[in-house]
Amino acid sequence: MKKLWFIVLILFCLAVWAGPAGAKVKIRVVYQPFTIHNQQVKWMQEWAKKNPDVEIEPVPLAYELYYPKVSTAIQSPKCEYDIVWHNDDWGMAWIDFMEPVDDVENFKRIPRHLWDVFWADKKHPRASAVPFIGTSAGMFYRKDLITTPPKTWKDVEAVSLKLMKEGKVKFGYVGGVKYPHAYFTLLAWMWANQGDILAPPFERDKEVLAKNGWKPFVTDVTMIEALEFWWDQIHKTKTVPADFVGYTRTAAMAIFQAGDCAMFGEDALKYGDVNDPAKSKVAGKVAFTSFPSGPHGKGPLSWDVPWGWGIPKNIPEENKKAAKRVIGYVISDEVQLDMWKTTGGIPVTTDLREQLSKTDPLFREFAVATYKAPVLVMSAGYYPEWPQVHSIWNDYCIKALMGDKKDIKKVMAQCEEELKKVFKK
Amino acid sequence: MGWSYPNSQRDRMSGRNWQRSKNDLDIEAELEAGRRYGLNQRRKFMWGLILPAFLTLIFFEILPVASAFWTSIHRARLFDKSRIFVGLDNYLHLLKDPHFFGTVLPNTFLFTFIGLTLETALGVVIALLLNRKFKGETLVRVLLLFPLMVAPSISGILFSWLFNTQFGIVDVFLEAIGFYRVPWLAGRWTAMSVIVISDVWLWTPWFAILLLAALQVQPLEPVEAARIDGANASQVFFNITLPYLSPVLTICMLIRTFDLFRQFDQTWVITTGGPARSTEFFSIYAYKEFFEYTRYDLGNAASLLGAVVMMIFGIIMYRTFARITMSEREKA
Repeated sequence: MKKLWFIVLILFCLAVWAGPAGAKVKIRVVYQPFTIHNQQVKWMQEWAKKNPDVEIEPVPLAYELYYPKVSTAIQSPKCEYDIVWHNDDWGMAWIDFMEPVDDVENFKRIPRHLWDVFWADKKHPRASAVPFIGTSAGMFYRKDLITTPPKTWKDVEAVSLKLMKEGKVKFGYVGGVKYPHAYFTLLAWMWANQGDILAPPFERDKEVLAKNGWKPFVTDVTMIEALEFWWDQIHKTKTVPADFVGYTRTAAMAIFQAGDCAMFGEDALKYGDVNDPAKSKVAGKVAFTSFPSGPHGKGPLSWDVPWGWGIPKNIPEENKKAAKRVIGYVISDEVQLDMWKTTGGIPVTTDLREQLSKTDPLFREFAVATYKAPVLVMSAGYYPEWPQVHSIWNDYCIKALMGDKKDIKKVMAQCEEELKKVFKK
Repeated sequence: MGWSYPNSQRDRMSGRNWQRSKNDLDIEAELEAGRRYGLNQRRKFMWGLILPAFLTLIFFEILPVASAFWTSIHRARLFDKSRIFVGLDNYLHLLKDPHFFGTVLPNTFLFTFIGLTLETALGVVIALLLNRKFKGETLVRVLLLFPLMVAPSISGILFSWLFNTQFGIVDVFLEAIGFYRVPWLAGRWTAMSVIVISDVWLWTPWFAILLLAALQVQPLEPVEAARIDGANASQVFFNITLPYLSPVLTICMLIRTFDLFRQFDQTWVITTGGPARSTEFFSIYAYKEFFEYTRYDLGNAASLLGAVVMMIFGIIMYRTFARITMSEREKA
């Protein structure tokens, strides 16, 4: 009898121990350890403290490894991550592997253009990721040195030369150039001159692009002018570092933070870093503006595209439910306001953007430079081959910048041929 | 009850004539069965010992290679799940790729050749210098081990900052002594030099330590005899020390050749194959095809093609080294 009671007691203890543990859902969040993601993950963990049935396990992954690693995971029989950071340019690549998420809380407050890129396909009428930040880019500039922000390429060159001549800075402009960091130099300049990688420029509907035969646009004058501008800055006026073609966004930011450069192309969300006295010598002296317009441009340029959180299809149902609750919370006003205040990241909900535009002068400045800029572009190609196209195009641009100026067009003609091969079935 | 030999066995052992009774036959059959049982047990035991290694080989060597081969002969891409059989098309695609032949292959062979030459030469020199008594000998040997404790990717980060044009100590030094700053990572050959220097820094101590170990057990008599006969230092080195070192040197060079051939981490950290894919090696090419372009079929084909080239190259190297070693020994 004693033995029986002992067994019952053990079983009871096991049930008590296993009960809550079994009910607790562990959500593994994979992201690149960027300021903005760190902020989001911190709030996810805060949320989990108030919701003991869910546990958050952060999994930071280097940017360079992120896409290949997570692409493999979402295709495996069971994904090891429950929430994945989702970049707008991977929307097409991942669409078949992601859970529809437009039913999460607060989702309806997000403007359509921000989540459109996560499906952009008539076969998939539902969003496959929830935007948590508008990644709008432009130029940080030294407001103690530059009174009127440059509006054109000519302005950028003139201001750079003047400040360098006066010995105020070593360089005029820095930004990432090597793949995949060229958004703030090569890509921005191409778009600011009304150029693009595929024709027709600024078109993002893949059906239209397909109808047009996936025709490259890289030998157009808009592209050549952009490359000639950078060629001049590297080899002639030397307003950028000599090893500019090897620059990552991190290397560029280091130079700006060291006070050696007047302008720095980046996402607005880096405001927190460049303005942090612990990290930056130029803290308190920084303002933000749109990218300058090229000779064929229609005005200063920016973009308003999202980073989002996605949920892979190949995870258990209960994890999907818990993940949706977590994501719903990080797009709430509380978290979005904190994101703006601590990092400079532009919130995603329309009403919060409007409210901040009225009440916060700094936000107003950022809004004018970013999502209210005269020219807006969707800053990626939303078709499955984009990573490959982007990489090939970037490598050929660098090849053109390393060679003779007169050969730029020839190199871009080679690029055109390579790009055609990508779409050849 | 104790065990004893059966009658027949006892008779055989004592040399006594005997006639096998039915009982003896039964016992012999039992013995035979026992022997078989023992043999079976021994076989099972042997298989038990081999099995873990065999399974490891199957699951971690044969199956991945077979799977890679299967993928390489089908169309397998992130967005194309058709898995159509394409035969050797992917291999042909690679062989027709001008970048593969014009940049990737020359880069890989050049890097292997320069890296191996420098590491071997410096390794031998350092080993010879350390093979003597001097003050601080232990400290120098410990310091020599330092690069071996650094992960290749960390060494890549270290060298990319050392050669950074704005913040790197190398350019600051060059400027201080009156030269211009060099944009190391902005040109093919300068970027390649940084990769080579970083690899040489990392791996020369490995050569030096192994060669030093060999030198320390080298018999002194032949060296002393040669000196008495009037041989100078270089004659002693080329005719006695080098032939003595050649077996160790051969193995070291072979191992390093394969390592250099498949070099990835430092190059990835320092240049990611750039600028404009000009410092791409085999491994970077395969990685880009597989992960960056998500063309799994081409990525696998490139890896397997690389393995075949490496195997052919390895066999040639091994035979050449073996021949040199033999002739050096004969000379010695």
